[in-house]
Amino acid sequence: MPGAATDTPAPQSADALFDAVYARLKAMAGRQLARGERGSLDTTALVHELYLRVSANRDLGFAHPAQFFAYAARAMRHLLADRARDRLRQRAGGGWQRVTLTGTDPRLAVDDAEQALALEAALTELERADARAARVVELHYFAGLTLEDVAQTLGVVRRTVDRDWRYARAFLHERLG
Amino acid sequence: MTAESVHSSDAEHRRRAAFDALLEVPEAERAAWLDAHVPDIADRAALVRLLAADARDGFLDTPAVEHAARLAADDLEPAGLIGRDIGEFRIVRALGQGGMAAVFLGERIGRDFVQRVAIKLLRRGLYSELEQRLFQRERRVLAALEHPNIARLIDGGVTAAGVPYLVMEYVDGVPITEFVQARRLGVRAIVELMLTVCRAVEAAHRNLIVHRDLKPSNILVGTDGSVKLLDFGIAKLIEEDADATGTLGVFTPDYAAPEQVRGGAITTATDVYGLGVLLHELLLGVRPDGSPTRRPSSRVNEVAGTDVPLPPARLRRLLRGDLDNILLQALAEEPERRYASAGALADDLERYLARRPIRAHPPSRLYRARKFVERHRGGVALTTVFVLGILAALGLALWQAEVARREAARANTVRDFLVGLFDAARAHLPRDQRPTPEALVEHAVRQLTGSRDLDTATRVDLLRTLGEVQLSLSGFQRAEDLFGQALDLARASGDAHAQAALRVLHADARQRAGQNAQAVAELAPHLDALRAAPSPDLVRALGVLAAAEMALGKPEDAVTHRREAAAAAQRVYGEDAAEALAAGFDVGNAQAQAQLYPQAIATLEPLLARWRASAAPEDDRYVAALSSLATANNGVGDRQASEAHFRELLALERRIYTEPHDAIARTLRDLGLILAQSEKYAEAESLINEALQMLRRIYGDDHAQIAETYEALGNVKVSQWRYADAEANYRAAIATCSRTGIREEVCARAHNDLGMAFYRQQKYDQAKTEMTQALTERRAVFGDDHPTVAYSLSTLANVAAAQRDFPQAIRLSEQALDILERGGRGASREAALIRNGYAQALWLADRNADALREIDRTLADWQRVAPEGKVRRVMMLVQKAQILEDLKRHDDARRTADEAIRVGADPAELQATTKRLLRELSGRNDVYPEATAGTTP
Repeated sequence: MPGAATDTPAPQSADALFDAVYARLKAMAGRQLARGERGSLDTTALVHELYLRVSANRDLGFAHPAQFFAYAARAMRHLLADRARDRLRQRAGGGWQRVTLTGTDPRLAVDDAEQALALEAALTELERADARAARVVELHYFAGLTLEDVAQTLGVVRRTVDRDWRYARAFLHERLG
Repeated sequence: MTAESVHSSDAEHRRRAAFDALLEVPEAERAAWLDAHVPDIADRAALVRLLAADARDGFLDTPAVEHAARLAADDLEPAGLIGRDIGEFRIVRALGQGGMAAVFLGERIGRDFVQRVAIKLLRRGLYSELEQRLFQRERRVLAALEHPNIARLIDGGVTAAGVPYLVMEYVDGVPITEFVQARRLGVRAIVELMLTVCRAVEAAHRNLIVHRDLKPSNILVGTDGSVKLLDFGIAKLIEEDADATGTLGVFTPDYAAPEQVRGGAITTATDVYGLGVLLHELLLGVRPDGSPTRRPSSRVNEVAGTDVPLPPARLRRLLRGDLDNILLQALAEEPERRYASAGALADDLERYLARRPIRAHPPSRLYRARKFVERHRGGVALTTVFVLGILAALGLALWQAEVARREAARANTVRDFLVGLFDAARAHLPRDQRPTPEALVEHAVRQLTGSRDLDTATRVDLLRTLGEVQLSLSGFQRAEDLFGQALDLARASGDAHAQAALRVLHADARQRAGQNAQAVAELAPHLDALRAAPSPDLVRALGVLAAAEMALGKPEDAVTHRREAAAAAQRVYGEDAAEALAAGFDVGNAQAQAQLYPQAIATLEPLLARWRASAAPEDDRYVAALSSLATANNGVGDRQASEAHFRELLALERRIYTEPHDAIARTLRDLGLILAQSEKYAEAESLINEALQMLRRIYGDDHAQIAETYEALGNVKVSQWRYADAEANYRAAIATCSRTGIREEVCARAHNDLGMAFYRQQKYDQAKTEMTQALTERRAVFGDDHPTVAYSLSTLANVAAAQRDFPQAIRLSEQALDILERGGRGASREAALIRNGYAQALWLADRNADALREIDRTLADWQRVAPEGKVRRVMMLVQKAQILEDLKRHDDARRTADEAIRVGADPAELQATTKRLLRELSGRNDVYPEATAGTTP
């Protein structure tokens, strides 16, 4: 768990905080892609780097690291969903027609897109059914925290988080087919 | 209550609890456990599915970013968009594809205009409110960016299908790299072009807009040389980054700054790096190799053979020093070590062009001194003259000391004086206000006047040297003054030898200051004494005399004296010495100026060949001679040779001078005029326009040369019968004159040309107005007896004849000829042409006997001044035959017509009327048959 405390938070609206985190995360994720370091793509590293940057920036204030990670996770969730929508729009709409795709199988990418959107829908369902399990998915899967960190962040014992994750993963995979 | 009626969250709670419990049960026993503990069939089915999902790999086993990466936009083909409407624009065709966007040519068709634009479609949607907000904000910022060298953002938005788009000014041009190669631009021209680019980037930087993707395809140059930068700030709009400190790779690796690749902060220094790469590529033909300290000039040899117009040695010399330092600073790896902004880079480029010390260089003494000398280099030779002048004085004094032994003390004094002079000049002036040569000379003169250590002979030497420096700086009055002082001293000390030399220099200064008559008066009494013992002084004296005579309108005398000077130079310097050949050039130059074209060609051709054969450099003397030859070739109607020589001249000047240069511009203009005569109008206009642009860069809009060039453009258009265009050009020339108050021949000539254009359109009243204006100006500026006044009168005579006012035409012709006779030009080429018109007016007024007398004189003069002018000769003979016919001397008329046929002019160049008259007058139907006639109107 990085840096336990942050600077005194500046009064900012939750929306503004989210906007800031989202924007930076996109930039950083994009840069990782641009560098072509596919092998080292790592959500944990990404979010932690983001955390370091954000906490170094006095303009952005977070009451607690937990708040930050919550935002980071939500941001990553949006990122994935947005890209999936982009991908599907490019396939279907606006007269754009895909011809080549370097490196990846085009079919795979479209499957990915459909799955990403299905995941988004399933996660929304899970939030209604089991809000804490959904939080665990966000923090572990989207923000890349270890289950131990998730437990600390959520203030519950590790065993609970383990079980939440196991259940959420099964729940979501079942919905994704 | 059944399970179905239970609230779904209860069901989920049950299932969750059962799932947790099931995981504690060994796999083999799970089915039994389910049967035992889960009564609801739907719950059981759900749990079975959950267990199966738990056992298999799925989407969540791949990290989220990896999915995101796979989903990132990739190559897309937008062919289906052609013909569709976006905003107010219709997509016409694809212009190009980038990683993040596709670009199309779009059109908006209005009632009476078609607006062409470039439409950029982004390859990603803007879904979140945040993204749309950022996009709109950036769009507003960019739309506010207005600069003549930046393509404007016209519109932007999101299509119904959710595709964000940007509409930008459409620019028709080629990438800057192609432009530079195609035009084979020299180093200076490249730096000037990049200066424009830097200034545009600077304007954006002031608005806090960083380009981020500067590369040749984003910097287009139109055929007129105008620069437009594309896609300003678009990289930021396109990339998925809303944060100026975070960054993402929308950039082109070859042009990207290190921090872009590393993902560091993007600042104005990022663009500076891009500009540095570009400058490097333009100058050397290749992009930098990434070594942060290696001087670019040291790469010249590796890149030799690429499309760089200069020989490697010369290119290396031009790059070494300032340009090396500028490039190294722009391309520094750490952004903070680069120029802080494009403006700072532009400032240094400007300093480089002005030969002032650049900032990129650690200011060493030697460096600053070199800058000082460079800055004051007026022409090619000035520095050399200046430095040599000083050294010559020193050397001369030392030599005299050597020879005389007893004068060693004096030599030391001179040396100390000169060294002290420079020290003093350096010490008492602020560092950034280094002295000009003029100031140094003035300083030296003050020192000299105040110094008591120097004897008279030394003073005379020094005054003479300082005067020569002033002469080379075009400070003619001051030079005259210094030579005068030296002359007085030499006279007082009875030094006859020094007096003779100083008198020549004094006269030279006066002649160049425009006191031609005084210069002649000063030299004439002493010429015979100088002739007694040929010396460099004699050569110079004859040259001064000739220059004065030429200016006084006595070209024949000038040529005579040039010949004498050339002969003296051969005796003094030796037949093959550069000085002797140069003196020979001056004969040819004078002949060309006196319009003795065949003679000029005969003089110059062999001399130029000898110059080339010798080791003499192709310097300004060679250039001047070549220019005279080209002019003379044209004068005798040999357009091919003239064109070839002007082209050679242009190539030579482009090697010798740095663009923009007055000499290059003039040659461009001359070549354009020659080409127009050969009906190569397109190239002619393009060259003259290039000249105009270059002259504007040198002089601004308000200069006689600008007027000259407009006039030349007008002439080219007149020869294409494009009178309206020509009129616009002539008016521009006239406007330049009246705006600046210039009173030069070109101003009057532009009026006269305009009058001639009206005359050709048979608008005689307007013609008369303009020609009268020209006449008035010429009288005011040059006096009533100037040859140009005669030409004005003769054009007015033409108009009068056209209006059938023959008495007036006759009067005006007589006045014109009278002026030329009195000025000693009565038998010149121009006089012959005017007399031809005079004879015609007399004939039309039925004064046939007078007409015959004048046409005979015309023919005799023409044979002498223009034996090669066959077409004109034929026309004159036809005229004579017509006059004889009217005098009822039919046999003589036929004989004259036969003579005209025997001249052997090219039938293609003869007018149909002339040929018809020749057949009628000679009574021979076999000559110039109809079939070959009538090609010319």
